[in-house]
Amino acid sequence: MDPQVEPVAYICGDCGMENSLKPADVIQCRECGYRILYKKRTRRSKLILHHIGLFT
Amino acid sequence: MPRVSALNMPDVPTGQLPPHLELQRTRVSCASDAPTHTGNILYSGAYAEMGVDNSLCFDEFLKNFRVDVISVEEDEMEFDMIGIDASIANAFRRILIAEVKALKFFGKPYAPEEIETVLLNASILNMDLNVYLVTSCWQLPTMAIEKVLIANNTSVVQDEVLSHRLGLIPIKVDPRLFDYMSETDTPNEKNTIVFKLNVQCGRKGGRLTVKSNELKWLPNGSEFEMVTGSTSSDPNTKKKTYTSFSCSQDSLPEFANNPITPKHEDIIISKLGPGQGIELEAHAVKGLGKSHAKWSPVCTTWYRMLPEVVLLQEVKDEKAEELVKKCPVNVFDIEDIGKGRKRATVARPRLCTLCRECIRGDDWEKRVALRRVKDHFIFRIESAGALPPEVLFTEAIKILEEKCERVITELT
Repeated sequence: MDPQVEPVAYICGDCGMENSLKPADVIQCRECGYRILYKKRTRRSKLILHHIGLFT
Repeated sequence: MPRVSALNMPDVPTGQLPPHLELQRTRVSCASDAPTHTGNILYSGAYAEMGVDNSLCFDEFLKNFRVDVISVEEDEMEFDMIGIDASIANAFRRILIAEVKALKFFGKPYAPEEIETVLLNASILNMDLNVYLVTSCWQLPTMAIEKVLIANNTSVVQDEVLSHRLGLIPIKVDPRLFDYMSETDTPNEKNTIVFKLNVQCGRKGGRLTVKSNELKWLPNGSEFEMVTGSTSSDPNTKKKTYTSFSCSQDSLPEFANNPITPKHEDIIISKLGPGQGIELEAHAVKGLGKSHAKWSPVCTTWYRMLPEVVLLQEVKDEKAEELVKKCPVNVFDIEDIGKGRKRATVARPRLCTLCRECIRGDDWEKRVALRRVKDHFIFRIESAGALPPEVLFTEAIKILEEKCERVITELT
């Protein structure tokens, strides 16, 4: 495992708090202890571009 | 006993219909079971036996036709159109308002059989044109949100539902200042209005209601950067966004002191819980109500025939009280006729909704007759806010005119 791995931000499914997790971390919100976390939505738009024909 | 033709009625003056036929011709009778005489008699020779000409006459029409505006408010308008036939005259009404075109049509000498074809075609057509009275308002364009670019949405309202809600928000802008955008067009300042919505609910302080006033107009177009394949990091080149505006919309004289906003500022878009947020861009384009109701410029537009309430016999004393009580919309009043006696009068027939409460029960149908005037329409336009109702109506007339013109060219 690469020790330099970037922490990824997740959003708590309960309180909406942002959590940064590294690979081996326990999947749990630091604020409320909720165990369902969501990945954040990407801001890259290249994929979206293909779906909206009007804007290409 | 000499045989006399049934149609030989010496008491009926020629050139005039007997009253019962005149009533059938001009009124819809609304009995307790069903309305009768609902149709219009279009055939020119329908009353030929009685020496009455039933043909459509232009001069006669001009003499009888009238428009009375009852009320005009910011978004609502009510007016009466009197002297038009629900069917064929209604079809010609729009042409007749613009007299030049009417003259062009009627002024041309037609052979009798040609006129017949014109009228035949027109009566086939008139169903359509009748509907256009109401639907032509659907043919008028407005601006509505069509594309939504969502950068972030952690609210409970899903992206597609949120986009749909945004689409239905009426936008206060004159659609005539914009062009239609076809599929091949690039969004520019002449065909697209861009709004930004960026709201975040704080971690503390409870829920946040997102209302339409959070939609901020971006006169310079989209602010979202488009990621292109080539990563030329030249700081001088303008960043490519989802619109290509050549100038700012607020530099145009129409919008300089008149920013584009949603028509109402208190339309609830979504509700956010603590920590939730929405960041998006909404692109409004021009469209027609027939493709989606969000582009319809009116909330509703409708007409009804003028109600006519007639007391067939005098309704007095307790019966009068009973009649006044029967009517839920207060059509009747009580008149004092002296000596402590009372008589019912029809004070506000226009309010009648034709609920027929007043003719329910024993014998009431003998006392009260409910009718509708066939050629008197109470027309109501309720604008959604982009254009005032009177402008909508004139625009609708223009559209109908074009349609009629097209038919006339087809026929000649």
